Amino acid sequence: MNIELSHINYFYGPRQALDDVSLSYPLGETIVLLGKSGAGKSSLLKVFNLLEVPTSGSMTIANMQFDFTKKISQESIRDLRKNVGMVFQNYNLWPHLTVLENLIEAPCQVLKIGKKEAIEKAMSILKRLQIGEMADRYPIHLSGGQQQRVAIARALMMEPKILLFDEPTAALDPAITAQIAEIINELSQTGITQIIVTHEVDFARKVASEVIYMEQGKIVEQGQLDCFAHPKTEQFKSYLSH
Amino acid sequence: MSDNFIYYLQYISQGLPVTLSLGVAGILSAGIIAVILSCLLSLQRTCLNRVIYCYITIFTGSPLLVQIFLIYFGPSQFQETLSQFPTFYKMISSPWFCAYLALTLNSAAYTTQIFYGSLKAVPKGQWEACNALGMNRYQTLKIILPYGLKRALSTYSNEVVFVIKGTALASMIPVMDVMKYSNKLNGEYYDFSIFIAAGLIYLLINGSLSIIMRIIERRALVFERQ
Repeated sequence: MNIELSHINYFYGPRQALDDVSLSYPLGETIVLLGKSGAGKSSLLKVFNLLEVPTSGSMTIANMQFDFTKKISQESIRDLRKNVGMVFQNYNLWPHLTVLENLIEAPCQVLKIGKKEAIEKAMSILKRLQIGEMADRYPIHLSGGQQQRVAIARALMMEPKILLFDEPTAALDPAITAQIAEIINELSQTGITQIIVTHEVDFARKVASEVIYMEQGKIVEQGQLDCFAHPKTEQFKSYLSH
Repeated sequence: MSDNFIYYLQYISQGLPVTLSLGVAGILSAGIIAVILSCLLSLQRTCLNRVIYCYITIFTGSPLLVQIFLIYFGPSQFQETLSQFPTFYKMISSPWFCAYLALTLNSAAYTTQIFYGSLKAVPKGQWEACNALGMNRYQTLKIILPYGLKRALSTYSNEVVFVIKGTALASMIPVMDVMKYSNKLNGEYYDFSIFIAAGLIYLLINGSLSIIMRIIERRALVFERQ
């Protein structure tokens, strides 16, 4: 089973956000997308769960195939999202629900899991992420790092095969960033595929098994962890030297 | 003087059941209609939205009194057609029902604007979170709508007070509410303190409603308290 994009084009208004992007990875990798602001890495991330639907190209992911020259049905998009979870930059927790309620809402409604079972599962995930005692609090009463862990827990509740992270550490201080990196490394050992957008090179080094560097909607360099030490292209070299 | 005033209060209070029943029934049905219309608006169907906005424009743009008169006096000109639907004709012939219908339609238009406004103000990220978890439109609204409604409560409590005050206009058709009794009394005694008594009763109702609304709001927004 693979994740495969071929010849993806995506326009954001008149601007071309993704320009003929193709890639193919086996499942189980932790793929980091690097690049300056506006390089198209967030757009690319949102293609994987079709929060952004490309104008052309095709995608194979989680046993599902999408041909973007044809119209994609809402139902198949929702099916895809059951397998592809997402953690947002500013967490996007629902502020009027407690941590526990934030976690069980989607499994109960979308996967039709019983409430009791969902609560048990939620508590075990929260404990695993060391925020078990926060279950009955509202998001506003948590620190940024704790909120980010709740957001990860909420995505994990759906047992996704693939987990997307959009700038997961942008609003966090270095110590908390290290904790998030640990969580991501732990998760990668469970075999889940993770795709992470970031512009923090140090963070990327800690978590990546595969690296993609983007500029102006194009993939400039692809490689494994060693490309941090030996960048193949001038562009990536100059990006790393900043 | 004070004896008179107490007599006025007692006499006018006979209108309380009608004023309260009109107000409460109007507020509740308008609230329900507004929630439904807000959900429909959030579906973003061009044609449907045009119809709803047309309704809102008509009912917020014309005086409530005109609406009450139209609903009360209008149908009597189509007696023959309407008498084919006896249940409906009976209802529309009742002044209370006409006042209730006008108040409901009027307040639902305003309340829809309040509810839909706050639904639109819910940060985009919360909708996105629902989408990313594979929720459909209905499941998404089930989460987002309560948040939107809770945030709308402080604005909505104004609308509740407006409806109670709006019931006074029902006295222009044969509805025996607080205002009607005050008018009747004034015809007899021609004393300005009659309307002070009436004003006091409305103030009391609205004061208590405001307090109730504030309590509801405090409970509903408990998640925002530091």
